[in-house]
Amino acid sequence: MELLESLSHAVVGLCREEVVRLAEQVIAEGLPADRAITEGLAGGMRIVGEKFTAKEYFVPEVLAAGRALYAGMDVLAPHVERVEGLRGTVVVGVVAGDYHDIGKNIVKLMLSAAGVRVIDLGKNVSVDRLRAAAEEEEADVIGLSTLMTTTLCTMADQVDQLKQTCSAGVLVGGAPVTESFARDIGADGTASDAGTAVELFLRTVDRIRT
Amino acid sequence: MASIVGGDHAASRAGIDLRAAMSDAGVLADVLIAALDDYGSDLALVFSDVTVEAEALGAEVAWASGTPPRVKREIAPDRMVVPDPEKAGRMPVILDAARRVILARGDTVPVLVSLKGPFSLAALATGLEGLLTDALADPARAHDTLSRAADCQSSYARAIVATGGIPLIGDPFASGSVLGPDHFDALARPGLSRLVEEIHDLRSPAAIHVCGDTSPILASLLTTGADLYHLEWADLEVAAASGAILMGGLPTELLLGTGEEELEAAVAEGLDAIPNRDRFIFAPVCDVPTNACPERVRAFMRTARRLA
Repeated sequence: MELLESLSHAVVGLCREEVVRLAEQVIAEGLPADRAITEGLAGGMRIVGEKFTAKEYFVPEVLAAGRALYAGMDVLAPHVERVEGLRGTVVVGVVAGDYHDIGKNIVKLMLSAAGVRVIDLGKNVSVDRLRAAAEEEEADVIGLSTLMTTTLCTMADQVDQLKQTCSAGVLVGGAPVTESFARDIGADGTASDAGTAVELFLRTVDRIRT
Repeated sequence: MASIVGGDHAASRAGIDLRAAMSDAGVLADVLIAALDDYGSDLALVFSDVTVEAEALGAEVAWASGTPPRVKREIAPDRMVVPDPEKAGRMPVILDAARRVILARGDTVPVLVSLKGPFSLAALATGLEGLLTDALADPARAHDTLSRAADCQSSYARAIVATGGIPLIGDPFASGSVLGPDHFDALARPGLSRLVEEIHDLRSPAAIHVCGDTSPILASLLTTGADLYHLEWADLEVAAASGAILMGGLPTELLLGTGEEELEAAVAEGLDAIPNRDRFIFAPVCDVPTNACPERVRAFMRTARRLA
């Protein structure tokens, strides 16, 4: 559908006003809002994620695409019953002692666009809060993020405690986190950027559910 | 060889509460000197944590046991006004610690004193997401914030040079992991170039540290004119062509590991990748993590000296 493709292109082009205009056109023409979200907005965000992975887009561009996506969601969401949660539930947060949340916010944005229900606990999150939220929300996966090398040890402790007491998968991420570090601390995986993180989350949800 | 130890690891290895060390010049200097002597680093670093300047500007800082402080509540951009470095927040602690370290070890090793680059200070004090949102939606407001941050750091850099220390401008958010080349050029490079030029005008060398992947911004970063670049991930051949001294080579997370063979292999690989050893300081690519085992840091320095 040409209009949905235009919606996707407007997200990739970071054109917030154009996204809103096209979303309103979707509603005016009686087209399905859920498809406009999944194929138009989320489809565009997937391309943004690919460009982020390929280092064609960086954090400012992802934020701008996110603003465009949410502006479109504001128009379309009232016209669908439920779009989130179709592909699993994840709890995300920044490790205790760390207040840098932009990486976590980008992953949250990409997961939401992919149809995942995301419970965001914010910054400086304790193991107890992560565990309680995962149990209460019946989360498939917990995602932990840190920006600083100084809180890598805290991340290791938190992953260790979660793996001992929680049935959800545990994924880790952030600038200083490497695959070998994630493996050494017993996490279920890590991704080098938000685009590949979505694929990893979805694979982990599938694995946990089977 | 350098061990790149900040106040957090230095305090942790000495068994001293981080807040106590990071709030008292005498304690901070003592733990930094003890780590310097223990590890046998060829340069000293006076660095407490990333929040010093943001806190001095009025941002609320949270302390948790065993980890360095973090900015808990940012300030509005228009509250960024140039502080008096000898009075504001913990800036006097850093400056006095620098004087003490220089007095104790300045005749044997160069002493780098850390300050934030204007982009990272603006991000820490006012919030990265807000700063980037302004850069997209209201560029004039973003540039005003960055200009205020540069004014603050210009003043702090002058105070650092007055101690006899060499300013090490840490700009963790001005990374190629965050900004592409266009935004780096527009938002981060002007402030860095200004600081380097002003430090040179004071007849001091200037060093820059950038975290994360620097490859997308490396060409632009190297035009700032710094005398030393401490880089996390970078094409060292390209960086070396600038003629500046380079520092780095060992992935920091290896200091959290335990395998001797893994460490030796990483040191050997890092040394092999050095394009010009005459202008290279082999060191961890970022500061040693708080709870890294001291014996692991010693093993790194031992292995590096043996293989080099």
